[in-house]
Amino acid sequence: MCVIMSLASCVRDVVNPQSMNCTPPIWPDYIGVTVPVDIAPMNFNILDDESGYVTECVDVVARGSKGGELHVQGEYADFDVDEWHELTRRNKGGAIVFSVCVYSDGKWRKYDDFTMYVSSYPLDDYGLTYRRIAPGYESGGDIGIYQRDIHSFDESAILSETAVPGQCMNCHTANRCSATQYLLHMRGGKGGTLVENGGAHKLLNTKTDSTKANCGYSYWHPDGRYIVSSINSIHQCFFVGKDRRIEVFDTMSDVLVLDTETDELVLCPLLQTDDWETYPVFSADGKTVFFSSAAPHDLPVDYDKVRYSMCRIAFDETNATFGETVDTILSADEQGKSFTYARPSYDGRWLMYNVTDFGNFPVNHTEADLWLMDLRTGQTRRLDEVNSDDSDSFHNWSSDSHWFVFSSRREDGMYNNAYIACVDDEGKVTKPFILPQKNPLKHYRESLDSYNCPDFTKDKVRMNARQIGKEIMDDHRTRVTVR
Amino acid sequence: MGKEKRWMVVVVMVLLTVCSWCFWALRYPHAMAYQEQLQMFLFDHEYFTERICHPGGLARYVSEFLVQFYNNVYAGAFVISMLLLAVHYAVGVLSRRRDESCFWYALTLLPSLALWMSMGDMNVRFMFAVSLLFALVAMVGYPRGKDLRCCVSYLIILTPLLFMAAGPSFFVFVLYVSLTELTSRRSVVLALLALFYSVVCVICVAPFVPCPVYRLFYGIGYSLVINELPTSLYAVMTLTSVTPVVTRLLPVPDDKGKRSLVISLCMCVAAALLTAGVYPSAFQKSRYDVLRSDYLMRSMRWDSIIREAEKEQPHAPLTVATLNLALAMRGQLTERGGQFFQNGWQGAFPAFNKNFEYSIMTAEIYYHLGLINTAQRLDFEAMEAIPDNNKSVRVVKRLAETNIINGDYVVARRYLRLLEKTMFYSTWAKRTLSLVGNEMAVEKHPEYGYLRKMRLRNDFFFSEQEIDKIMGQLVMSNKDNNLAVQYLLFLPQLEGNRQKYMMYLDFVNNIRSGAVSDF
Repeated sequence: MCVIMSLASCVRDVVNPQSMNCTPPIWPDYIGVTVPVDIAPMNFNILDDESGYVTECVDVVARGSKGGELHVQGEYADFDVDEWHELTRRNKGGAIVFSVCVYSDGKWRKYDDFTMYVSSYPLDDYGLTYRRIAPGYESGGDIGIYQRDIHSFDESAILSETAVPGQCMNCHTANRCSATQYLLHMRGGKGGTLVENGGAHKLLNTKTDSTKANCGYSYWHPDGRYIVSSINSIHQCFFVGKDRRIEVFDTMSDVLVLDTETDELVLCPLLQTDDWETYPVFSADGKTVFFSSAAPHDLPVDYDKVRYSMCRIAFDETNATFGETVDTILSADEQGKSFTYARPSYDGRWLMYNVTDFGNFPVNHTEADLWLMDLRTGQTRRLDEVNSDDSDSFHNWSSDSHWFVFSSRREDGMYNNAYIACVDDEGKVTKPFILPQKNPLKHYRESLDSYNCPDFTKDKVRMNARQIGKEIMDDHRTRVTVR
Repeated sequence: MGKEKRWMVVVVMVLLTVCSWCFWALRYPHAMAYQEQLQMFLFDHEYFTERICHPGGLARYVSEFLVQFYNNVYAGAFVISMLLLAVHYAVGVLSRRRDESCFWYALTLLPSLALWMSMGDMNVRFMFAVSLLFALVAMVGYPRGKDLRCCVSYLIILTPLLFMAAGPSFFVFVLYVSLTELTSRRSVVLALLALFYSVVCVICVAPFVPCPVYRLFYGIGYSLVINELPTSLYAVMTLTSVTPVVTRLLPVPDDKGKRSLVISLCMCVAAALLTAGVYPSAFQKSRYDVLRSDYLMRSMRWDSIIREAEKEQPHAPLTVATLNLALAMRGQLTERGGQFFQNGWQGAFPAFNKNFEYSIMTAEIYYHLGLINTAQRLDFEAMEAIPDNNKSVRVVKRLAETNIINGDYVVARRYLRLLEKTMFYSTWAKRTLSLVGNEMAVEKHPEYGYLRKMRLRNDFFFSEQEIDKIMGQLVMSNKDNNLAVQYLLFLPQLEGNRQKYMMYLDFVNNIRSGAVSDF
């Protein structure tokens, strides 16, 4: 009865609304964002705290510049998935104008209309994958790799801690958003690297007598045979003061290539130096490896003096050999910054990366920003359209390279959320939007998880979690060798 | 049943209820406080749906609802004693004989007494007890002795439902049905089919639950240790299945006079004595000493901690650390710390351990010292160290507090909004929300305002090996941080390093007189 009454109480005619002469206090901030066709409904809430009134009902009319109209009324703006998709399809390359009236304190208030743009670039990938993890630093907890259909609100676990009790897992790394070609590092007692390649999978032990650690940050070669990885000795220290929480750093790192056909590691002396090489990625054509490199320091004492340059080296996939020189494309010494986490777009046009004052773990640096390099001209620029005052990191491209997703702590400085933005052929980037949720305020303000390492996936990942979990909990691993 | 025997049943039930209430409320309130903090029951449909989709989900939901009442030890003890009584009553109903004899009545006490003792294992969740009650209700409803088709239908429908509602405790029901049918010699086939059908139910459900199959047999949520089921629970389940059948079958003496009543009473006393004999091993003192320390520390009963230590010296690192904190809170650490057993620096600041108790108790020490970030970090670790991935209402409350002290109000609001959805923390959360963003109110707050002033002014990496230097920095940041001063002077005492002690004493004296500005 109460439910029926509360629903009934939220169906009202908008009568004599008071004009507020400002945009509505909506959350998330979807004002002026650009969305793809068929994205999940961009539902939003009204923030009571901002207006000073407790919202009893919100009335929203969404009108497309090329036609179509939706009208919803309720505790928050909640659009029907199919109707919303239809509206975005009709307005591809156009805009949707939202008229918002809020009922509170016994009367209606009408806010200025705001606009949301519908991109002409499609986003046909199935959705996102990400690791959901609570901010524990040493205990694994309820960790899991999840996937989310970005065209609806469906989320499902790819592999969660319940399938592998007590095990910690790193983020999964797909080859160009593939749902059938990916790897996943397990850590701890049942550690190993799961390599899934077109329906066949194997569990590898990537530590050899000739290498100092297991494979860490990894990236697939476009042809799917090779994986370039760093091996790192990762440490974390915790601040006692107020403003910073943690610094994560390496005391050693090298770069190598794993041949998934022969289970061999391919080493290169230029990438096994005393310097610390990390975050390797293949270029879109697979002929170059980008990576970050820093001179060794006394850690943790000089943690704030370690700065990584962005480098590259040629790679020949026919016989898995590296070039003979390393080029520095962004010099830490010259610019006094640290350049990490390179992510080339799959069309070969852009290189997105992180810039921080020092270190190699941008997610814990409030100053971490996203930058974009035009690989045709070498020009770089800070992505002011998407950066915030807090950490913006863990970026990845959609399969068509016109959208990218990244993690940001902009909401509260503690929890990472996934944001999506569009880049056009000229490199113009749109205002990002947070991954839509059915009831965004409830979801994001009550979740105790961070969204780490979001990436696009072309299709739904279909992992037999029970079988994989069973194999992980067994001790059998294929030990890789060094070529 | 004779009038005297009816009285005996009533007296035994009353005694069981009263004794269990006194036991939990007066002797083991800390056991309830421990369980209460290992969950965060939310009045929220998502919380319900998240739990209900797993086998045993309804039992888990109901038990977590009930465990909230542990927040008040008297209410919590009432909940436990009522459940033990309900288990006993249900077993009694199932054990009722055709001849109405109560001769073997004492046997019906065994499942509830065994359940009581099994709860001494702090890894055992209250969910197990609730699931057992669910199974008993199903057993009471079983149409024993009626038409076979009726029994088969009941079994076919209820077995999967019970598995989804209660988890593997449904085997108690299945075993009971099998034993009942076997002993009545009515349908051996039904008895065997019941067992087979129960295993089929588990296997059919398994593909839809993303966890190893063994967890379905152990029960998701029965125990904090997820990859095994404590032996005591097997014993309780077996007793619950077998006792009613055996009680119905055992022969009774011809004598229906007072002699048999006396024998029955003696057997009840024997059951109680047997329980008392099991008690020391069921409730391991060393582990419960730690929980008691934590309970007293959480409720800031510093004098009680000291008083109890004066009666019996603590020896475990966590209990010693709690005592030291209590002494420091009462300004007695430097003078009296040496009178008690000490454990080196570990007795002042236990080393990090991926364990709930270690993390949460050590976090308390850092919190009171003003090392808010360190306390917050350990609180996060504590929550993620809960083996069954529940969230902790205690930790979330502390996270809200540490974020308020740090001025991170957006995050603080997140935690407070969650706590608003709880039963026992809602009022506190609503009250505390008024502090969010209100700098002046926070500054004036007796606890948060004080701790905000005690925080470090400069920033550096935490190091367990250099904790004395961190204490020195705390004193540097605020010379009124008496807790830090005491710990600073106490740490050299633990090492037996008199020279260092004198050096630190000079430092404290100088800084208080304004003569020193660096540690």
